[in-house]
Amino acid sequence: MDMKIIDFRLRPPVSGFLNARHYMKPETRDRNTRMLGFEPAPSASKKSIDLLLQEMDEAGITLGVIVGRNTAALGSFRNAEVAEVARSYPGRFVPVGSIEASDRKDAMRQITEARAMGMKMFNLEPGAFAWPMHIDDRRLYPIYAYCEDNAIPVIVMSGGAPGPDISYTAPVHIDRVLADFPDLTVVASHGNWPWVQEIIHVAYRRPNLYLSPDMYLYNLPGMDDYIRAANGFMSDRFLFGTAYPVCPVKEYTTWFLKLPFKPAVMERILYHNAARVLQLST
Amino acid sequence: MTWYRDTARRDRFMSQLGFRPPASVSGQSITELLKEMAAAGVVRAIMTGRFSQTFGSVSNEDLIAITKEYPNHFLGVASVDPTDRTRAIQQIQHAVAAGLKAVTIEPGSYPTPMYADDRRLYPIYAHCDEMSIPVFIMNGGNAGPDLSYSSPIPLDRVLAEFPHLKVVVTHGGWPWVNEILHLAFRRPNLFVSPDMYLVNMPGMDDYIRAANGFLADRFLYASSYPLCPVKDYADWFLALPIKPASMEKVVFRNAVELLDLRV
Repeated sequence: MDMKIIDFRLRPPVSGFLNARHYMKPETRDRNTRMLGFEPAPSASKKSIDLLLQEMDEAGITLGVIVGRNTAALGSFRNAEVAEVARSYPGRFVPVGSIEASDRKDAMRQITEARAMGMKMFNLEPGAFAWPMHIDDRRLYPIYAYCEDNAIPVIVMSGGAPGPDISYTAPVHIDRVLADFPDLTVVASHGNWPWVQEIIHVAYRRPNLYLSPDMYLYNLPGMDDYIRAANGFMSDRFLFGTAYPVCPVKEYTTWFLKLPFKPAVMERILYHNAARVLQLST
Repeated sequence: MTWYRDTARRDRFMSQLGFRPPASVSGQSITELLKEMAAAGVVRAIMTGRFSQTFGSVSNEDLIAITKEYPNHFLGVASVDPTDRTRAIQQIQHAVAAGLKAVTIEPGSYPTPMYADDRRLYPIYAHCDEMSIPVFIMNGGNAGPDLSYSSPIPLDRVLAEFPHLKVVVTHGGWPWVNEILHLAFRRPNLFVSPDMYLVNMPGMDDYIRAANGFLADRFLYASSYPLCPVKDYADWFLALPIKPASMEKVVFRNAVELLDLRV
């Protein structure tokens, strides 16, 4: 396999990432890992970045998109730490800052600071804010407007378990954002799972939506529909992500590479789509 | 706009308040209106633009033209198309550069009715907040398809989430009088202009008590012309039991300070 791979969702066991729930509560994380059918990665259990880099090499992962976190419910750490991790391991990670957007002016300050650190993309996890918000909360709209005006793509955690109840993954919220900001590129992390049919409808209707089903692709309901969409109209807007440390990078990648994606599509999913969203120069 | 096309409806509203159409309204005469303003002692009038299907539209270009033709009589407040944020902000920039003094938002009467806290309005509020442009929000009276469009709750959220944005609630949040006065008590960025809905309507005494008390600096006089005659409304208003010091603020000083006028 001589194909470059970008992992669109990876939280390495180092620096501020260790303060988020994935590393503070390993028993919860390992329960999720095992529910999917994996054994925890040695790097995750030992909190070893060196082991992770080795596992990434074995998996063939060229670049990991390290997504920060700034939430009351799932932990938080500074975007400066995310940027520092990327700087410490040149060529291995792309840093994505996380914004707590309850206060618009404070959010704008966070964005300005993170842009000054070279970040080109931001992650919003509104369901996990101290005051949980849906993706289309009015208070997020000035932030989306800024990102649209400045061609900054955003990741929104609109799938999986992002908030207090299942309404936080309901696709009607992301649909409104996509409609109201047609030039904003939005990546739905966790692929907006479990609303698979609905989010594929939204993607069909809204060309500014990218899906990264990551851990929720793994033998879960809807998997065949994601793959069929990726082989069809979504081939340019489907992303590969391991959600490490929830999934071990090596085992997830080995599994993923055997999925029935067309070869040309596989190449886009593993690398080119992500490179385009991240505005990589390659 | 509706008030000059559907004259029967206008005159019904006016007669419900106890007024009769003055010469300027029945004759649609600006010359008569200027005379009536002079007789009423109105030195400046704020014209609000409108972007609406229900009530008709008045373009910012028209407002700008009128302010240029009558610079000593009229000032303008720009309307926006709320469905297109980029265009709305361009409209605001253009209007303010041409001398208009504030932005009017009429959420319930847009072609797609909205509440004051609609997500699509938030980038517009944010822009006004950043540029220190006051916003007039029609959140009272016949604001939208049903009573929910004058509910104070959406307005409260806007006031809380943009604490530095100066907001004038046109039609005074009526009929939710106790509630809007509670908001004004709680949110120092709210200005109240009950205009036509003050005229012998329920809640009138409470508005006046507030104007004589904590709201003296944030109560604004307005006739809602052509729904009230400027002269008869002024005569009626000036006889209200508002303390002289409050009256001077309500009929003049508050508006001058809010809109940074040179009068």
